[in-house]
Amino acid sequence: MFRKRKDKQYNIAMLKIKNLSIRYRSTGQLAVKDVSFDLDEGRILAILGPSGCGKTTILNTISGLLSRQEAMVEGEISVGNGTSKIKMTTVFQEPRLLPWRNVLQNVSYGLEAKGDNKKEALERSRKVIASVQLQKFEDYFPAQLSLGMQQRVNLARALVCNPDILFLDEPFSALDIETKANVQALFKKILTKKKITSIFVTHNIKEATVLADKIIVLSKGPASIENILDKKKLNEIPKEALNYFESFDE
Amino acid sequence: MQKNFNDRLISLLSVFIFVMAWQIIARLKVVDPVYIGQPLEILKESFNFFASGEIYEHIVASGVTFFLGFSVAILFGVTLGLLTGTNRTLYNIVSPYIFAIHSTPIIALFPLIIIWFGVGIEAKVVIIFLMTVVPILANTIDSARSMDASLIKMAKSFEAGKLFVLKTIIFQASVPYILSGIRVATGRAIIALIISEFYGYGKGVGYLVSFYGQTFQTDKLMSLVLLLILFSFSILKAINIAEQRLLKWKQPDSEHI
Repeated sequence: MFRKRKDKQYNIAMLKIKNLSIRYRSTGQLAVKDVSFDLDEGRILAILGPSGCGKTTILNTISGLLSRQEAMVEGEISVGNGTSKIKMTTVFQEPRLLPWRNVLQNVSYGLEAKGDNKKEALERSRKVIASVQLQKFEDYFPAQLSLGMQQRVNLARALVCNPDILFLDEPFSALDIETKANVQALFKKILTKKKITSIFVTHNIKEATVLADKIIVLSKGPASIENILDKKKLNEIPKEALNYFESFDE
Repeated sequence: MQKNFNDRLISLLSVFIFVMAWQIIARLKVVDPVYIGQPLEILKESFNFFASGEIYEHIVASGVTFFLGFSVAILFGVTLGLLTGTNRTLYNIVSPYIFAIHSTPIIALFPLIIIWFGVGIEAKVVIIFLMTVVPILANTIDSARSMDASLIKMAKSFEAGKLFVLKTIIFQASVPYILSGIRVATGRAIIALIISEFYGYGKGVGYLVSFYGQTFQTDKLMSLVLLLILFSFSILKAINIAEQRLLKWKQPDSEHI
Protein backbone atom coordinates (compact mmCIF):
# COMPACT_ATOMS: atom_id res chain seq x y z
CA MET A 1 0.00 0.00 0.00
CA PHE A 2 2.51 2.53 1.13
CA ARG A 3 5.84 2.86 -0.59
CA LYS A 4 8.49 1.10 1.46
CA ARG A 5 10.49 3.64 3.33
CA LYS A 6 13.24 1.43 4.73
CA ASP A 7 15.77 3.47 2.78
CA LYS A 8 14.69 6.57 4.66
CA GLN A 9 17.07 8.04 7.14
CA TYR A 10 16.63 10.92 9.45
CA ASN A 11 18.74 14.07 9.26
CA ILE A 12 18.35 14.39 5.50
CA ALA A 13 16.65 17.71 4.93
CA MET A 14 13.42 17.19 3.01
CA LEU A 15 12.53 20.85 3.13
CA LYS A 16 14.62 24.01 3.43
CA ILE A 17 13.04 27.41 3.71
CA LYS A 18 15.32 30.44 3.63
CA ASN A 19 14.31 34.07 4.15
CA LEU A 20 10.73 33.48 3.00
CA SER A 21 8.61 36.62 2.66
CA ILE A 22 5.11 36.62 1.20
CA ARG A 23 3.04 39.64 0.20
CA TYR A 24 -0.57 39.39 -1.08
CA ARG A 25 -0.96 41.14 -4.41
CA SER A 26 -4.62 42.12 -3.91
CA THR A 27 -4.13 43.99 -0.64
CA GLY A 28 -0.39 44.65 -0.71
CA GLN A 29 -0.30 43.23 2.82
CA LEU A 30 2.92 41.58 3.99
CA ALA A 31 1.76 38.23 5.42
CA VAL A 32 5.08 36.53 6.13
CA LYS A 33 8.42 38.18 6.87
CA ASP A 34 11.83 36.59 6.59
CA VAL A 35 11.02 33.07 7.80
CA SER A 36 13.69 30.37 7.66
CA PHE A 37 13.58 26.79 8.86
CA ASP A 38 14.30 23.29 7.66
CA LEU A 39 12.76 19.89 8.19
CA ASP A 40 14.39 16.48 8.10
CA GLU A 41 12.86 13.58 6.22
CA GLY A 42 10.29 11.62 8.20
CA ARG A 43 9.84 14.29 10.86
CA ILE A 44 6.74 16.21 11.89
CA LEU A 45 6.91 19.98 12.11
CA ALA A 46 4.26 22.14 13.74
CA ILE A 47 3.83 25.77 12.75
CA LEU A 48 2.36 27.42 15.82
CA GLY A 49 1.01 30.93 15.95
CA PRO A 50 -2.00 33.08 16.71
CA SER A 51 -5.03 33.03 14.38
CA GLY A 52 -4.54 35.04 11.20
CA CYS A 53 -0.76 35.37 11.62
CA GLY A 54 0.06 33.79 8.25
CA LYS A 55 0.59 30.12 9.17
CA THR A 56 -1.69 28.81 6.44
CA THR A 57 -0.11 31.23 3.96
CA ILE A 58 3.28 29.59 4.58
CA LEU A 59 1.74 26.13 4.18
CA ASN A 60 -0.12 27.01 0.97
CA THR A 61 2.98 28.65 -0.51
CA ILE A 62 5.13 25.57 0.05
CA SER A 63 2.40 23.21 -1.19
CA GLY A 64 1.79 25.36 -4.27
CA LEU A 65 -1.87 26.05 -3.45
CA LEU A 66 -1.17 29.78 -3.23
CA SER A 67 -0.44 30.84 -6.79
CA ARG A 68 2.14 33.43 -7.80
CA GLN A 69 -0.78 35.47 -9.26
CA GLU A 70 -2.18 35.77 -5.74
CA ALA A 71 1.03 36.51 -3.87
CA MET A 72 4.58 37.74 -4.36
CA VAL A 73 7.05 35.30 -2.85
CA GLU A 74 10.66 36.08 -1.99
CA GLY A 75 13.26 33.72 -0.57
CA GLU A 76 14.15 30.11 -1.23
CA ILE A 77 11.93 27.05 -0.96
CA SER A 78 13.84 23.88 -1.61
CA VAL A 79 11.98 20.58 -1.47
CA GLY A 80 13.65 17.16 -1.59
CA ASN A 81 17.06 16.60 -3.12
CA GLY A 82 16.07 18.16 -6.42
CA THR A 83 16.58 14.96 -8.42
CA SER A 84 13.07 13.53 -8.37
CA LYS A 85 9.57 14.96 -8.22
CA ILE A 86 8.29 15.28 -4.70
CA LYS A 87 4.68 14.31 -4.07
CA MET A 88 2.84 16.68 -1.75
CA THR A 89 -0.73 16.41 -0.52
CA THR A 90 -2.84 18.43 1.87
CA VAL A 91 -5.23 17.55 4.66
CA PHE A 92 -7.56 20.55 4.91
CA GLN A 93 -9.04 22.16 8.00
CA GLU A 94 -12.55 21.10 6.90
CA PRO A 95 -12.83 17.63 5.38
CA ARG A 96 -13.86 18.94 1.90
CA LEU A 97 -15.28 15.57 0.92
CA LEU A 98 -17.39 15.29 -2.22
CA PRO A 99 -20.92 14.71 -0.88
CA TRP A 100 -22.00 12.60 -3.87
CA ARG A 101 -19.10 10.15 -3.46
CA ASN A 102 -19.02 7.48 -0.79
CA VAL A 103 -16.01 7.01 1.50
CA LEU A 104 -14.21 4.65 -0.90
CA GLN A 105 -14.75 6.93 -3.90
CA ASN A 106 -13.67 10.00 -1.92
CA VAL A 107 -10.44 8.33 -0.81
CA SER A 108 -9.60 7.23 -4.36
CA TYR A 109 -10.28 10.73 -5.74
CA GLY A 110 -6.66 11.88 -5.68
CA LEU A 111 -5.47 8.74 -7.46
CA GLU A 112 -8.18 9.06 -10.13
CA ALA A 113 -7.20 12.72 -10.63
CA LYS A 114 -3.66 11.59 -11.37
CA GLY A 115 -5.01 9.14 -13.95
CA ASP A 116 -4.37 5.91 -12.04
CA ASN A 117 -6.22 2.77 -13.04
CA LYS A 118 -9.61 2.92 -11.31
CA LYS A 119 -9.60 -0.68 -10.09
CA GLU A 120 -6.12 -0.38 -8.61
CA ALA A 121 -7.02 3.01 -7.10
CA LEU A 122 -10.02 1.45 -5.32
CA GLU A 123 -7.92 -1.46 -4.12
CA ARG A 124 -5.25 0.84 -2.64
CA SER A 125 -7.94 3.06 -1.14
CA ARG A 126 -9.52 0.10 0.65
CA LYS A 127 -6.24 -0.64 2.41
CA VAL A 128 -5.76 2.97 3.53
CA ILE A 129 -9.38 3.15 4.71
CA ALA A 130 -8.62 0.16 6.92
CA SER A 131 -5.60 1.98 8.36
CA VAL A 132 -7.85 4.86 9.47
CA GLN A 133 -10.28 2.29 10.89
CA LEU A 134 -13.20 3.02 8.57
CA GLN A 135 -13.38 -0.29 6.69
CA LYS A 136 -17.01 -0.80 7.74
CA PHE A 137 -18.02 2.54 6.28
CA GLU A 138 -16.70 2.32 2.72
CA ASP A 139 -20.20 2.68 1.24
CA TYR A 140 -21.28 5.55 3.46
CA PHE A 141 -21.76 9.06 2.11
CA PRO A 142 -20.13 11.98 3.98
CA ALA A 143 -23.53 13.20 5.26
CA GLN A 144 -23.85 9.91 7.13
CA LEU A 145 -20.51 10.29 8.96
CA SER A 146 -19.52 12.24 12.05
CA LEU A 147 -17.03 15.09 11.64
CA GLY A 148 -14.25 13.00 13.21
CA MET A 149 -14.86 10.21 10.70
CA GLN A 150 -14.95 12.70 7.84
CA GLN A 151 -11.59 14.04 8.96
CA ARG A 152 -10.18 10.50 8.93
CA VAL A 153 -11.43 10.13 5.35
CA ASN A 154 -9.71 13.45 4.60
CA LEU A 155 -6.43 11.99 5.93
CA ALA A 156 -6.91 8.72 4.05
CA ARG A 157 -7.48 10.62 0.78
CA ALA A 158 -4.13 12.35 1.26
CA LEU A 159 -2.25 9.23 2.46
CA VAL A 160 -3.35 7.01 -0.43
CA CYS A 161 -1.29 9.18 -2.79
CA ASN A 162 1.91 8.16 -0.94
CA PRO A 163 3.00 11.75 -0.28
CA ASP A 164 6.65 12.62 0.33
CA ILE A 165 5.44 15.63 2.29
CA LEU A 166 2.04 15.89 3.93
CA PHE A 167 0.55 19.28 4.83
CA LEU A 168 -2.09 19.46 7.53
CA ASP A 169 -3.96 22.74 7.91
CA GLU A 170 -5.43 22.83 11.43
CA PRO A 171 -6.98 19.40 10.86
CA PHE A 172 -8.38 19.07 14.40
CA SER A 173 -9.76 22.55 14.99
CA ALA A 174 -13.37 21.69 14.14
CA LEU A 175 -13.52 18.57 16.32
CA ASP A 176 -14.88 18.28 19.84
CA ILE A 177 -12.40 17.52 22.65
CA GLU A 178 -12.95 13.77 22.89
CA THR A 179 -12.98 13.18 19.13
CA LYS A 180 -9.96 15.46 18.78
CA ALA A 181 -7.89 13.31 21.17
CA ASN A 182 -8.81 10.09 19.32
CA VAL A 183 -8.18 11.49 15.84
CA GLN A 184 -4.90 13.10 16.96
CA ALA A 185 -3.69 9.78 18.37
CA LEU A 186 -4.58 8.01 15.13
CA PHE A 187 -2.88 10.68 12.99
CA LYS A 188 0.26 10.55 15.16
CA LYS A 189 0.38 6.75 14.98
CA ILE A 190 0.07 6.65 11.19
CA LEU A 191 2.44 9.52 10.45
CA THR A 192 5.11 8.12 12.79
CA LYS A 193 4.74 4.54 11.58
CA LYS A 194 4.94 5.49 7.93
CA LYS A 195 7.65 8.12 8.63
CA ILE A 196 5.86 10.69 6.49
CA THR A 197 7.47 14.11 6.50
CA SER A 198 4.64 16.34 7.70
CA ILE A 199 3.99 19.97 8.42
CA PHE A 200 0.92 20.93 10.32
CA VAL A 201 -0.45 24.28 11.27
CA THR A 202 -2.02 24.89 14.64
CA HIS A 203 -2.69 27.58 17.20
CA ASN A 204 -2.75 25.07 20.03
CA ILE A 205 0.54 24.45 21.90
CA LYS A 206 -0.67 21.18 23.46
CA GLU A 207 -1.57 19.81 20.04
CA ALA A 208 1.84 20.86 18.73
CA THR A 209 3.76 19.18 21.56
CA VAL A 210 1.73 15.98 21.28
CA LEU A 211 2.21 15.59 17.55
CA ALA A 212 5.37 17.34 16.43
CA ASP A 213 9.10 16.64 16.61
CA LYS A 214 9.83 20.29 16.02
CA ILE A 215 7.78 23.41 16.57
CA ILE A 216 8.27 26.82 15.03
CA VAL A 217 6.52 29.61 16.82
CA LEU A 218 5.38 32.58 14.78
CA SER A 219 4.71 36.10 15.98
CA LYS A 220 1.52 38.00 15.18
CA GLY A 221 1.29 39.04 11.50
CA PRO A 222 3.30 39.60 9.48
CA ALA A 223 4.50 36.15 10.54
CA SER A 224 8.12 35.97 11.56
CA ILE A 225 9.84 33.34 13.65
CA GLU A 226 9.63 33.96 17.37
CA ASN A 227 11.14 30.67 18.49
CA ILE A 228 12.03 27.15 17.35
CA LEU A 229 11.43 24.35 19.82
CA ASP A 230 12.96 20.99 19.13
CA LYS A 231 11.44 17.92 20.79
CA LYS A 232 10.26 20.00 23.75
CA LYS A 233 7.78 18.55 26.09
CA LEU A 234 4.94 20.61 27.44
CA ASN A 235 6.34 20.64 30.98
CA GLU A 236 9.73 21.89 29.75
CA ILE A 237 8.30 25.08 28.28
CA PRO A 238 8.62 28.10 30.60
CA LYS A 239 5.34 29.21 32.18
CA GLU A 240 5.46 32.70 30.61
CA ALA A 241 5.92 31.17 27.17
CA LEU A 242 3.06 28.75 27.81
CA ASN A 243 0.79 31.63 28.76
CA TYR A 244 1.77 33.36 25.54
CA PHE A 245 0.97 30.23 23.48
CA GLU A 246 -2.32 29.69 25.23
CA SER A 247 -3.37 33.21 24.36
CA PHE A 248 -3.44 31.97 20.71
CA ASP A 249 -6.52 29.96 21.55
CA GLU A 250 -8.46 32.97 22.78
CA MET B 1 -47.45 5.93 6.57
CA GLN B 2 -51.06 6.42 7.71
CA LYS B 3 -50.70 10.18 7.20
CA ASN B 4 -49.39 9.59 3.69
CA PHE B 5 -52.36 7.34 2.91
CA ASN B 6 -54.81 9.95 4.21
CA ASP B 7 -53.18 12.65 2.08
CA ARG B 8 -53.57 10.53 -1.03
CA LEU B 9 -57.16 9.64 -0.17
CA ILE B 10 -58.07 13.32 0.20
CA SER B 11 -56.46 14.13 -3.18
CA LEU B 12 -58.29 11.23 -4.87
CA LEU B 13 -61.62 12.26 -3.32
CA SER B 14 -61.09 15.83 -4.51
CA VAL B 15 -60.57 14.62 -8.12
CA PHE B 16 -63.53 12.22 -7.89
CA ILE B 17 -65.90 14.94 -6.64
CA PHE B 18 -64.72 17.32 -9.37
CA VAL B 19 -65.28 14.74 -12.14
CA MET B 20 -68.70 13.77 -10.73
CA ALA B 21 -69.80 17.41 -10.60
CA TRP B 22 -68.54 17.90 -14.16
CA GLN B 23 -70.48 14.84 -15.37
CA ILE B 24 -73.71 15.99 -13.65
CA ILE B 25 -73.41 19.57 -14.94
CA ALA B 26 -72.87 18.33 -18.52
CA ARG B 27 -75.50 15.59 -18.30
CA LEU B 28 -78.17 17.98 -16.99
CA LYS B 29 -77.03 20.50 -19.62
CA VAL B 30 -76.47 23.20 -16.99
CA VAL B 31 -73.59 24.00 -19.38
CA ASP B 32 -73.81 22.65 -22.92
CA PRO B 33 -71.48 19.59 -23.28
CA VAL B 34 -70.28 21.06 -26.60
CA TYR B 35 -68.33 23.57 -24.52
CA ILE B 36 -67.03 21.35 -21.73
CA GLY B 37 -67.42 17.71 -22.86
CA GLN B 38 -68.56 14.86 -20.59
CA PRO B 39 -66.14 12.77 -18.51
CA LEU B 40 -67.74 9.44 -19.46
CA GLU B 41 -67.76 10.35 -23.16
CA ILE B 42 -64.15 11.51 -22.88
CA LEU B 43 -63.16 8.14 -21.43
CA LYS B 44 -65.09 6.38 -24.22
CA GLU B 45 -63.36 8.47 -26.90
CA SER B 46 -59.97 7.78 -25.31
CA PHE B 47 -60.69 4.06 -25.47
CA ASN B 48 -61.86 4.35 -29.11
CA PHE B 49 -58.70 6.21 -30.10
CA PHE B 50 -56.54 3.33 -28.94
CA ALA B 51 -58.96 0.56 -29.97
CA SER B 52 -59.17 1.83 -33.54
CA GLY B 53 -55.41 2.50 -33.62
CA GLU B 54 -55.91 5.86 -35.32
CA ILE B 55 -54.01 7.72 -32.57
CA TYR B 56 -50.75 5.78 -32.82
CA GLU B 57 -49.22 7.51 -35.84
CA HIS B 58 -49.98 10.89 -34.22
CA ILE B 59 -48.41 9.82 -30.93
CA VAL B 60 -45.29 8.57 -32.73
CA ALA B 61 -45.02 11.81 -34.76
CA SER B 62 -45.40 13.99 -31.65
CA GLY B 63 -43.13 11.75 -29.56
CA VAL B 64 -40.28 11.94 -32.06
CA THR B 65 -40.59 15.74 -32.30
CA PHE B 66 -40.82 16.10 -28.52
CA PHE B 67 -37.85 13.90 -27.65
CA LEU B 68 -35.66 15.33 -30.43
CA GLY B 69 -36.26 18.95 -29.38
CA PHE B 70 -36.09 18.22 -25.66
CA SER B 71 -32.97 16.04 -25.76
CA VAL B 72 -31.08 18.56 -27.91
CA ALA B 73 -32.10 21.28 -25.41
CA ILE B 74 -30.89 19.21 -22.43
CA LEU B 75 -27.60 18.26 -24.08
CA PHE B 76 -26.92 21.78 -25.33
CA GLY B 77 -28.16 23.49 -22.14
CA VAL B 78 -26.07 21.36 -19.80
CA THR B 79 -22.87 21.48 -21.88
CA LEU B 80 -23.01 25.21 -22.61
CA GLY B 81 -24.18 25.88 -19.04
CA LEU B 82 -21.17 24.12 -17.51
CA LEU B 83 -18.72 25.88 -19.84
CA THR B 84 -20.39 29.28 -19.40
CA GLY B 85 -20.64 28.93 -15.64
CA THR B 86 -16.93 28.27 -15.32
CA ASN B 87 -15.63 30.85 -17.80
CA ARG B 88 -16.20 34.52 -17.10
CA THR B 89 -15.56 35.69 -20.68
CA LEU B 90 -17.91 33.09 -22.15
CA TYR B 91 -20.51 34.08 -19.55
CA ASN B 92 -20.27 37.72 -20.63
CA ILE B 93 -20.67 36.67 -24.28
CA VAL B 94 -23.59 34.29 -23.74
CA SER B 95 -25.66 35.99 -21.01
CA PRO B 96 -27.29 38.71 -23.23
CA TYR B 97 -28.65 35.97 -25.53
CA ILE B 98 -30.03 33.96 -22.65
CA PHE B 99 -31.81 37.05 -21.37
CA ALA B 100 -33.10 37.82 -24.90
CA ILE B 101 -34.43 34.28 -25.51
CA HIS B 102 -35.95 34.23 -22.03
CA SER B 103 -37.80 37.50 -22.67
CA THR B 104 -38.91 36.68 -26.24
CA PRO B 105 -42.38 35.21 -26.80
CA ILE B 106 -41.00 32.41 -28.97
CA ILE B 107 -44.45 31.50 -30.33
CA ALA B 108 -44.64 34.94 -31.96
CA LEU B 109 -41.56 33.99 -33.98
CA PHE B 110 -43.16 30.79 -35.24
CA PRO B 111 -44.15 32.11 -38.72
CA LEU B 112 -40.56 33.23 -39.20
CA ILE B 113 -39.18 29.92 -37.95
CA ILE B 114 -41.37 28.13 -40.53
CA ILE B 115 -39.90 30.35 -43.26
CA TRP B 116 -36.38 29.55 -42.01
CA PHE B 117 -36.81 25.81 -41.44
CA GLY B 118 -39.84 24.80 -43.51
CA VAL B 119 -43.11 23.18 -42.41
CA GLY B 120 -41.53 19.82 -41.53
CA ILE B 121 -40.31 18.47 -38.20
CA GLU B 122 -37.31 20.83 -38.13
CA ALA B 123 -39.31 23.96 -37.29
CA LYS B 124 -41.16 22.13 -34.48
CA VAL B 125 -37.91 20.83 -33.03
CA VAL B 126 -36.45 24.34 -33.09
CA ILE B 127 -39.53 25.75 -31.30
CA ILE B 128 -39.32 23.10 -28.58
CA PHE B 129 -35.58 23.69 -28.27
CA LEU B 130 -35.96 27.47 -27.91
CA MET B 131 -38.79 27.14 -25.39
CA THR B 132 -36.95 24.65 -23.17
CA VAL B 133 -33.27 25.44 -23.37
CA VAL B 134 -33.33 28.56 -21.16
CA PRO B 135 -34.45 27.03 -17.82
CA ILE B 136 -31.92 24.21 -18.21
CA LEU B 137 -29.12 26.51 -19.33
CA ALA B 138 -29.79 29.18 -16.70
CA ASN B 139 -29.99 26.63 -13.86
CA THR B 140 -26.75 24.94 -14.92
CA ILE B 141 -24.94 28.28 -15.19
CA ASP B 142 -26.18 29.42 -11.75
CA SER B 143 -25.07 26.17 -10.19
CA ALA B 144 -21.61 26.20 -11.82
CA ARG B 145 -21.08 29.85 -10.85
CA SER B 146 -22.00 29.26 -7.23
CA MET B 147 -19.65 26.27 -6.89
CA ASP B 148 -18.00 25.72 -3.53
CA ALA B 149 -14.47 27.02 -4.27
CA SER B 150 -12.98 24.92 -1.46
CA LEU B 151 -13.85 21.72 -3.34
CA ILE B 152 -12.12 23.01 -6.48
CA LYS B 153 -9.08 23.89 -4.37
CA MET B 154 -9.12 20.39 -2.90
CA ALA B 155 -9.11 18.94 -6.45
CA LYS B 156 -6.26 21.26 -7.44
CA SER B 157 -4.22 20.02 -4.47
CA PHE B 158 -4.32 16.62 -6.21
CA GLU B 159 -3.25 18.26 -9.49
CA ALA B 160 -6.62 17.43 -11.08
CA GLY B 161 -7.02 18.68 -14.67
CA LYS B 162 -9.77 21.14 -15.66
CA LEU B 163 -11.83 18.53 -17.51
CA PHE B 164 -11.60 16.14 -14.56
CA VAL B 165 -12.79 18.88 -12.18
CA LEU B 166 -15.63 19.76 -14.57
CA LYS B 167 -16.71 16.12 -14.78
CA THR B 168 -16.24 15.02 -11.18
CA ILE B 169 -17.13 18.17 -9.23
CA ILE B 170 -18.90 20.92 -11.18
CA PHE B 171 -21.21 18.62 -13.17
CA GLN B 172 -21.99 16.42 -10.16
CA ALA B 173 -22.78 19.43 -7.98
CA SER B 174 -25.04 20.80 -10.73
CA VAL B 175 -27.18 17.66 -11.13
CA PRO B 176 -29.92 18.79 -8.68
CA TYR B 177 -30.17 22.16 -10.46
CA ILE B 178 -30.16 20.54 -13.91
CA LEU B 179 -33.01 18.22 -12.90
CA SER B 180 -34.95 21.15 -11.52
CA GLY B 181 -34.43 23.01 -14.83
CA ILE B 182 -35.61 19.94 -16.79
CA ARG B 183 -38.71 19.74 -14.59
CA VAL B 184 -39.63 23.37 -15.37
CA ALA B 185 -38.83 22.82 -19.06
CA THR B 186 -41.13 19.78 -19.34
CA GLY B 187 -44.31 21.86 -19.15
CA ARG B 188 -42.90 24.37 -21.62
CA ALA B 189 -41.90 21.55 -24.00
CA ILE B 190 -45.45 20.16 -24.13
CA ILE B 191 -46.93 23.62 -24.77
CA ALA B 192 -44.33 24.18 -27.52
CA LEU B 193 -45.10 20.79 -29.07
CA ILE B 194 -48.86 21.34 -29.25
CA ILE B 195 -48.66 24.90 -30.55
CA SER B 196 -46.02 24.01 -33.14
CA GLU B 197 -48.29 21.19 -34.40
CA PHE B 198 -51.24 23.59 -34.76
CA TYR B 199 -49.32 24.98 -37.72
CA GLY B 200 -48.30 21.60 -39.06
CA TYR B 201 -50.32 19.46 -41.38
CA GLY B 202 -51.81 16.00 -41.10
CA LYS B 203 -49.88 14.52 -38.17
CA GLY B 204 -49.31 14.99 -34.45
CA VAL B 205 -51.42 15.21 -31.30
CA GLY B 206 -51.35 19.02 -31.55
CA TYR B 207 -52.75 18.83 -35.08
CA LEU B 208 -55.63 16.62 -33.81
CA VAL B 209 -56.28 19.01 -30.90
CA SER B 210 -56.55 21.88 -33.36
CA PHE B 211 -58.78 19.87 -35.74
CA TYR B 212 -61.23 18.68 -33.04
CA GLY B 213 -61.31 22.16 -31.50
CA GLN B 214 -62.27 23.76 -34.80
CA THR B 215 -64.94 21.11 -35.50
CA PHE B 216 -66.41 21.28 -31.94
CA GLN B 217 -65.69 17.60 -31.19
CA THR B 218 -65.15 18.51 -27.55
CA ASP B 219 -65.08 14.98 -26.10
CA LYS B 220 -62.34 13.93 -28.54
CA LEU B 221 -60.40 17.12 -27.81
CA MET B 222 -60.67 16.56 -24.07
CA SER B 223 -59.53 12.94 -24.41
CA LEU B 224 -56.37 14.26 -26.10
CA VAL B 225 -55.89 16.73 -23.26
CA LEU B 226 -56.19 13.80 -20.85
CA LEU B 227 -53.55 11.95 -22.85
CA LEU B 228 -51.23 14.98 -22.66
CA ILE B 229 -51.76 15.24 -18.89
CA LEU B 230 -50.80 11.56 -18.51
CA PHE B 231 -47.75 12.07 -20.74
CA SER B 232 -46.58 15.10 -18.76
CA PHE B 233 -47.19 13.22 -15.50
CA SER B 234 -45.09 10.26 -16.75
CA ILE B 235 -42.18 12.53 -17.66
CA LEU B 236 -42.28 14.22 -14.24
CA LYS B 237 -42.44 10.81 -12.55
CA ALA B 238 -39.40 9.67 -14.57
CA ILE B 239 -37.53 12.80 -13.45
CA ASN B 240 -38.44 12.03 -9.83
CA ILE B 241 -37.13 8.48 -10.17
CA ALA B 242 -33.91 9.78 -11.78
CA GLU B 243 -33.58 12.30 -8.95
CA GLN B 244 -33.95 9.61 -6.28
CA ARG B 245 -31.29 7.49 -7.95
CA LEU B 246 -28.82 10.26 -8.75
CA LEU B 247 -29.22 12.16 -5.50
CA LYS B 248 -29.33 9.31 -3.02
CA TRP B 249 -26.36 10.95 -1.28
CA LYS B 250 -28.69 13.77 -0.30
CA GLN B 251 -31.15 11.50 1.48
CA PRO B 252 -29.13 9.32 3.82
CA ASP B 253 -31.36 6.30 4.29
CA SER B 254 -29.20 4.62 6.87
CA GLU B 255 -28.61 5.82 10.37
CA HIS B 256 -26.37 8.83 10.91
CA ILE B 257 -23.26 7.82 12.79
